Amino acid sequence: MNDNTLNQEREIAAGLVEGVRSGDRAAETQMVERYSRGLRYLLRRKTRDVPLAEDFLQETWAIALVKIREKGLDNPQRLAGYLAGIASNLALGELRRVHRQRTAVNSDVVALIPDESANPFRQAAKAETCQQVQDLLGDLKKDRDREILQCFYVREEDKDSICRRLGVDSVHFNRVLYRARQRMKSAILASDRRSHFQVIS
Amino acid sequence: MNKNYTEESRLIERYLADELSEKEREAFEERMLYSPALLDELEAAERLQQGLQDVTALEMANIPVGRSSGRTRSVVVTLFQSPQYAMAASVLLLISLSVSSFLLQQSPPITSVDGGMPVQTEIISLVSVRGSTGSDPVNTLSLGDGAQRYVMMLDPGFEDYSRFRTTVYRLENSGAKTMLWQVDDMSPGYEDMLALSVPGSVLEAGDFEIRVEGWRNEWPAAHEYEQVNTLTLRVSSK
Repeated sequence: MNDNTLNQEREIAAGLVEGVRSGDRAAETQMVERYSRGLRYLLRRKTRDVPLAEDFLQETWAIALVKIREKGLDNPQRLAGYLAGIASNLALGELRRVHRQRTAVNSDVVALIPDESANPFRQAAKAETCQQVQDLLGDLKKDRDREILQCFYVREEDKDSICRRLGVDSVHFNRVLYRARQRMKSAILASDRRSHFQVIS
Repeated sequence: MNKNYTEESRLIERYLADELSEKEREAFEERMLYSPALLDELEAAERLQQGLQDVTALEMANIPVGRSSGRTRSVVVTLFQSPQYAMAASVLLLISLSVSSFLLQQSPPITSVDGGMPVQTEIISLVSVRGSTGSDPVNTLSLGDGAQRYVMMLDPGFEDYSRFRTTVYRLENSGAKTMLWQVDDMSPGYEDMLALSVPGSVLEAGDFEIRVEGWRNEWPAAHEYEQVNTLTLRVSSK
């Protein structure tokens, strides 16, 4: 890890905690802006439920801000760790709650719950991602490399067994995954830039 | 790929595969919250995974994923600049100047703008994304900011080559291409990208094509370079 980045973060975190503790609203806003993206990703990954992740994000901030305003933190430099801990606990609590409940499915009630996947914006985003992945797969000259991505990301096999079965070395495996990710990053950036230039009439 | 970046990449993959210990995972998730660069990587991986799962599901259901034929590789996008790339400007300039290169041009000789003095350099990352037919080039650059040299970060593709060659063409209105600049014997460096250093005097307002080709040492001398990537760049005067 880059020591400069870590030191910088510790300094910023301590400053934000102090600001919030002393009632500085700008510090609160800055804190929320700084960490929400990471928290959102973390919650989305742990809950696998986008609306629930958003709820938990709000709850994370509600818990954290009350605590910091009233009592501060024992270790203000570890603000990010503190926030990640709250988010993780909320997600874990939900997981345990779901496992505990053995509710019989009421099909009439279930039918009333709107299908988020049918949301047109989400469908459009999904279609765009599909196209980006298709383009990426099209750029892979070897079936073996496509197989690497499929095995790792779709079938979630571990790296060693993939390398053994496909006869590739670790360096090549890493290269394919890394460059696929970079290509995806480029595609996301291009898509984001494009969306800023939409003409609204 | 450089060692540090390989280790970071491996850490990301282990996190995504839930292979980190509890302590490692907590440390990683804490860093995730304050590192936009790390989040970029994770979100790209997440999008890639979701996309692969969706594509696989569609293919299994024999549903064609929409793909119009004859599309050109061009989408409107603005120039990408990142502070993290700017931080490595001096290192990249050293890398680009140390590789063997030669200039091919049909215009009057380009005189050195360096003169042994430090020159203002701008680093630009060219996006290699396909887009809709007839749309503007993916990448754009506005001249006139005082930069005398440009370092273009290029995607080296997925194949393993012994070395890369990059050529810059000016696209004429007639459809012809004029070769302006070529650099050979390149290899990926910072963030596993190719860094092509181009004097600002090479770039004037207009459209350009940057072609990346790869070569393997085991090939016979008569073997052609293999095409890796073709990018477009639109340069405008400020």
